[in-house]
Amino acid sequence: MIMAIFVIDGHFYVKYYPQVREFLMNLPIPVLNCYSVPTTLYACPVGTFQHFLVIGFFSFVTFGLLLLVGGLIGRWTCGWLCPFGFVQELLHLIPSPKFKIPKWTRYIKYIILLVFVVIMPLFVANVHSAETGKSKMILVSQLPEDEQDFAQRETWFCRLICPAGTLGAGIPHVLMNDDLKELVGTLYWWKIALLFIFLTSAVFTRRPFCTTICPLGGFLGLFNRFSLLKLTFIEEHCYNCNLCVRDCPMGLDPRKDYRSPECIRCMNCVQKKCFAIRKYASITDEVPQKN
Amino acid sequence: MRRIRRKRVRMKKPAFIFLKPVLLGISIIIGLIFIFVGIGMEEFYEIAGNALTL
Repeated sequence: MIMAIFVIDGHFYVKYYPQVREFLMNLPIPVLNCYSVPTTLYACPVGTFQHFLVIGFFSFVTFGLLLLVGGLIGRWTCGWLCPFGFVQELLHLIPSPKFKIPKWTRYIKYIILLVFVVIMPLFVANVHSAETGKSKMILVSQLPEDEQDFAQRETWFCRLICPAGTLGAGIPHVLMNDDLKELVGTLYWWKIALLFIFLTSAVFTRRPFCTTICPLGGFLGLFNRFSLLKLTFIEEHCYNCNLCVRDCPMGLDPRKDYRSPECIRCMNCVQKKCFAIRKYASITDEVPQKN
Repeated sequence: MRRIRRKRVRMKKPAFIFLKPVLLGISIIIGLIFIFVGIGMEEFYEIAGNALTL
């Protein structure tokens, strides 16, 4: 995971080889890593997808890449590459009382995906009033017809919610740039508050952002049931030691939920000594004999 | 003699057996097609242009 963060946020390339960064920024990798992060090397797929909707196009590359990665490895990238997931797991190591997130909250991320990532960038514009000096959200269809083509649509998930962007890009940019400090307003403090809530709750629960909000995890999770990389549970090999349940970073019971959309394929449960949970690659549900 | 009780294994209908491989195939094939369509439409310039200006 630490290696992955160094690869994604390649300080070395950014500093000495800017042309490498320019090349790699073409690629949206399936990890929630904001492309405004000063040291990042890749584009964020959620931000890129919204940006294309905002300018009136569909991002074939981003959507195709997510379909391909989801089909091959499901939500594996959440468990092995995502920097914000890593931060949450580190915070969870702080000794404290631990709680489970209610199951119904898992469905919020699908609403976020649909509303903030797909519908709002298409239909909601941000209108800046010169008189009051404030911006307000308005449906594009409510604007006069001649203004609709020039309406300022926004990447609403990034603008209103994404705490990964606040942590990696918002805070560093404001700290480094004096001009930006003057622009800090209600929206910035709203995002700081959201980030604070997620980071604090990560101490007490497991990966709260990934479980409840992350639209990318929600989308990739849809592929978990049929992806090429699969997990299986062999009941005869289980000692009921509960080690797999204790170590699951998503708070799942791997004996029942090994194909759940919430499983991030971190393989913590596979690496335990009971051998009851196995990973395998197959296009069908049959478990290969030799594994 | 003790009789060993075996769990009754419910057989899946053939349609459901093929459902997952078909979905997997569709997602991989459409994914690859979309990537090549995107490359053909020179989407990468837009992605990089957007990302680098931020």
